Amino acid sequence: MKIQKLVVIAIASMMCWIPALRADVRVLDIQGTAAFKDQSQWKPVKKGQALKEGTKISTGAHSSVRLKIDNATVTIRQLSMVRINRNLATGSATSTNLGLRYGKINARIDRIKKLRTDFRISTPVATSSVRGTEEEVSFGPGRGMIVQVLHGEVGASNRFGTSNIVRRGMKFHVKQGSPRPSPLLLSTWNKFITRVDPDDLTDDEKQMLERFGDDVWLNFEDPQFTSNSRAKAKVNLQIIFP
Amino acid sequence: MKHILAAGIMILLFLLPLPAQDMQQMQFIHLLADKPAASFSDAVTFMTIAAGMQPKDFNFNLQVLKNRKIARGMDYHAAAPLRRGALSLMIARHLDLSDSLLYMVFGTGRYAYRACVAEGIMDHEGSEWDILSGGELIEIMNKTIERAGER
Repeated sequence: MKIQKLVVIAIASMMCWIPALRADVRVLDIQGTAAFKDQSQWKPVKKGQALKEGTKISTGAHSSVRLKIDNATVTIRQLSMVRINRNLATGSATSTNLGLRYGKINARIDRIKKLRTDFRISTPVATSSVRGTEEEVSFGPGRGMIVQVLHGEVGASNRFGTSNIVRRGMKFHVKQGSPRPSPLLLSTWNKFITRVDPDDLTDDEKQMLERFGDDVWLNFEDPQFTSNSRAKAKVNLQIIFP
Repeated sequence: MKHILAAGIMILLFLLPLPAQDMQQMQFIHLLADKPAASFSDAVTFMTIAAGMQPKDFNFNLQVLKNRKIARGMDYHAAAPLRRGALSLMIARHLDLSDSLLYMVFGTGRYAYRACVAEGIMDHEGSEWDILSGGELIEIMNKTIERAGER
């Protein structure tokens, strides 16, 4: 009777305990030259190969490697070195951390219902965390870390505790030793369709008016410029605040 | 039949050293990544790879680059520290950067660096006299190869 009880308890406890498993990291395809290092020696990467936690992957010039990590597809671009820092999976959650030492990677993470995905890319200066999105992350000692979001949104935080939510069209850029990233919309500042100027005068026109007064405008013979006719126009504005 | 077999064996013999050469290239990049200061020889090797050729020793690589006018007039010592200006000049020649008027006129490392900044290959915070680390050289060459592919 005692043995039967023990067996029932053992089975019940085994059913309750969901172990953290090592998730599958598999090489989908390779272009050019790529190598991996799991212990001491660098060896060529092969298609279909499974890679363990702690493995370093490196790509040569004109080369790339595509990896499948659970619900994520990661492309390691040319001249990059990546380490699989962590890769765990349970029935309801996955946790992956890739360490980008240098180079560029593209990560596309598909959102799966009821599966909590924690996918991080760490560099020596900052970390980006992704949930159901596509991003491109690059790092180099000169330029620092750059995160560009292609779809969805990404959380990015640096070593000094500054964190941002990065969306499509924004760029998270932080340099080594810098406590703050550059403004997220810096890359779009000069990409405008039109400008709205106060008093309907551009900076150059204002400067000219200050220098020459009304002389220029009064001596203008073109009626298009001298007439005070006004017209109404419908304008749609899309204002993005960082 | 014998001819086909012989031709097959010859092709195989030519292809065999390829993986070893590829691993040599990887080894070079891994060692370079840890260098606090890259040398002129490192840049010459990397430019040879960027030009799509298999690098050999320093003198051979330099001659190849000189023949292609990439390293024209560059007679630095192999172990000389790599300066941003010298690398910029090689990159500007390799990519045939012609948008910068001052670089077109003077053709010096100083204006080649400005041309590389304008192309987004190098960062504007620096000077042509900066000594580059191995990591920085990899980063710059990454951009250079990307740009060459876009052209």
